[in-house]
Amino acid sequence: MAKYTITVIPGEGTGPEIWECVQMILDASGVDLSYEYADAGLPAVEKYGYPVPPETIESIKKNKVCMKGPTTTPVGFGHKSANVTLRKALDLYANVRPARSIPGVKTPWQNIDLVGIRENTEDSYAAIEHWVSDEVAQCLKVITRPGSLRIIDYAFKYARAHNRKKVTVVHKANIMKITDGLFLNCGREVAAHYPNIEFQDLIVDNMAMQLALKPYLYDVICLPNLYGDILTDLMAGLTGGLGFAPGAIIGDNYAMFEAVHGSTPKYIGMKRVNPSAVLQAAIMMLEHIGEKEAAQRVYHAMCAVLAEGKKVTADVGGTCTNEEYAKAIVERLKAA
Amino acid sequence: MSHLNYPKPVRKIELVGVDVYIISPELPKLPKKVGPFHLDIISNRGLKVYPGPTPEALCVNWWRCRYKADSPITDKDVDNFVLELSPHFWWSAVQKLWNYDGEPGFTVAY
Repeated sequence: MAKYTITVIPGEGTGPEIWECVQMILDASGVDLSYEYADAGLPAVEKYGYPVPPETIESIKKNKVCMKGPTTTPVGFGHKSANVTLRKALDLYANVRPARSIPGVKTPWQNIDLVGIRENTEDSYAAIEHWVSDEVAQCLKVITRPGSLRIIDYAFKYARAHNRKKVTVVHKANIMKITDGLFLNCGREVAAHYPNIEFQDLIVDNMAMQLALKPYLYDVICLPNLYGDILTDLMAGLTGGLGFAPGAIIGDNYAMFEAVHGSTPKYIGMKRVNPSAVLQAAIMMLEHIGEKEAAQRVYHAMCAVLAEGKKVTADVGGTCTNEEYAKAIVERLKAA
Repeated sequence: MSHLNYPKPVRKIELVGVDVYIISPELPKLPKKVGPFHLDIISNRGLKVYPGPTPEALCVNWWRCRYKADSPITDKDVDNFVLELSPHFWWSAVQKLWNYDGEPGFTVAY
């Protein structure tokens, strides 16, 4: 029996082929992993009639940790989002989005090392929308004190655990004085318990500008759900785009690791989609289960292959398939 | 009043239920039936907590309780609904639920 069993949702589109690449690398990491496969998204809708079957939830509850590939959510109609369903069913409230410069990945900025901590269960995502007249639709933005305290406390705990120096809490309390004011005040309240970590608050539009102008000034950035949805993608754009953007969604009992990008169905079978985002999510997963040394080895092997630039995918100037890129990382791991 | 020359679509509007937001430290023990309405779903922060198993999730003291009608209803039925619940539950808001051209004009909790 393997030391760790991980629930794996390979996802849609190019998700399964990307997972094969990542599994190849994980298998070479020396960590004793086994995988329990589960459905979510469109395949689950076709099979069960809903995006996340109870078997998938039970598998994650049993194994505590899940690797999830991309799933598709129809825009404006159709089935509910598998992502949001999983987040809510497992109370995965902290979306952790590192954005770190990687050698060999050309971006306007170098030496960026940001972590976005996005609240992931409330705000305008509480699914409370109504047509209140035949020409007015409303969506309730729900900000709660317990929900705000726990995400901001998570951000400070994350900063402390990862030896980070500053937490920036983002809001629009100058306009939404009650809802965002609550989030900001929770930030001040939590910060008082972490005197060794610098606390800063910024209005969300200023935060966006600062990220474009001086991203190197920031460290851990904690945001409500909607601002976090937008600005964590901006942060990903600073460090190579969604092809290099991993995400973890963490709760008190369970954790899910995923790429942020979509399922890129037009590239199915072409083996050209860069698996680095899912690979970095897998590295976060290794850290989460306590395999920090293996996580570092895999990360350095990935960075070495990217910095060399010979066996990389087309999005970073190479000509290799994602399988060849994954094999190059495996070779690095074996040589280390 | 129309400021722009875009004709508003004519939609058939039908009252089908009511969302009542109740303040309670715990899941409120609501009547299953109130007049022509039946208790359909209770959610907390957008997550369904009734019927079915209670999820392992953070719940706050504000519950969206959805009652749907078993038969055609009027605004008067909503008035009576509020009068019946009000002495027993502390509520913050009531939102009528309408179908527009037969489609729900409201979202369903996760």
